Amino acid sequence: MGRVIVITSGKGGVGKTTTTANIGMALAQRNRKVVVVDADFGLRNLDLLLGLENRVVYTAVDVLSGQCRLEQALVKDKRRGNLVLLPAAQNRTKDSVNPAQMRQLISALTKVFDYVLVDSPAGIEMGFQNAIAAATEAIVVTTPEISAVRDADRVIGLLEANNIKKSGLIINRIRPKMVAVNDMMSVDDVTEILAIPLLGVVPEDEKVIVSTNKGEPLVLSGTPTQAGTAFENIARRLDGEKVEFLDLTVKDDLLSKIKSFFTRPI
Amino acid sequence: MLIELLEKIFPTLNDRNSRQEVKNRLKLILAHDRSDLTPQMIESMRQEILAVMSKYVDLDSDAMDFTLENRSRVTSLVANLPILRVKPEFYTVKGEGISQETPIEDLPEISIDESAIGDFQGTSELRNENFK
Repeated sequence: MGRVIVITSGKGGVGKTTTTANIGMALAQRNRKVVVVDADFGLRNLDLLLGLENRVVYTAVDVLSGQCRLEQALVKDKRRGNLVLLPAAQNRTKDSVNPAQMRQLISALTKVFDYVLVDSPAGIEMGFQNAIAAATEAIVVTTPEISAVRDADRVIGLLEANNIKKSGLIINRIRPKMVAVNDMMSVDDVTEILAIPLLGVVPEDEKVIVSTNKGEPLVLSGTPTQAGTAFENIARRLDGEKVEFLDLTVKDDLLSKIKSFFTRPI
Repeated sequence: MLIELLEKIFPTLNDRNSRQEVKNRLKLILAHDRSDLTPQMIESMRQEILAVMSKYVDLDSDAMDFTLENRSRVTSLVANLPILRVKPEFYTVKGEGISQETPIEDLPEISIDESAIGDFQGTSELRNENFK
């Protein structure tokens, strides 16, 4: 039986889909059998981030309506054959599927795959209810901003209320330089407030945009990037390895040395 | 310009940095989000708690503080209610004030003879030991 993990955030645009694509790919690189499920019916994007948009023929809705078999809707990644995408329908709304149907689909997938990663839509309405319906674990993605943290907190409460006890936090798009001058909440600030275990920290990285442009998750690129390494580390932690968090403190130039001299605790 | 530079070099000079500010705002808003208590419920709880306490003590209504706090996803109501004094009817030592029970004129008068002061020669053993 594979693990069913929902990736969710409450607020939109904090990096759920990027996280799903990268963790999915990183787990596949570790030779796990992975299916990423796009639960954002009506606004699907996961196919784009994986560069698989041209190969989508059937969707989850077609499987549920009996128009195709589950295997026909699954799109296999050419770079990593053990990574598979179950696309969402683009021409339907979030109400075209219900939680019972999602459970039905996902329980079939757990028989074959080690990991079922469900990319949840933003919000806490029907689409969110569908996404969490079959999950036993959750990854909550947030950024160090007030609105994202508040929404993440709301989602954590809903996950607990829906009996999803195992949640890990990913803090995305952190800018170490801004944290150093007290213009952004730090990793510790956010984890203290949200009070769930930290699964990973991903620094702001322009390479993320380049990789979405190409439809190629960062973890695939030959040259290591900060964000890519962060996603790889998250995948390793999910897989049970103990991995240190990236050191994101600003490098010691003269100014920061002077600063830390004067601001050190007495 | 110079102040800005100084604040950049010594971030602790500027206590009101945006990082601290956002944390404080978040903690307050999350305490309310998490508790599912409406402001009306909090207000009526406050009034009922005050009514109960006022039966026993006088409270300093200006210095009262009644807020929700949240640590590790547990919401608590933190109330700071300074007690000015316990209501007289609950004094633990009875008759601590001047007793009004027996009017003073009802008590028998005590006489004193000034010329006889110091004449008393008792036979107390204690007295003999000390003044021999």
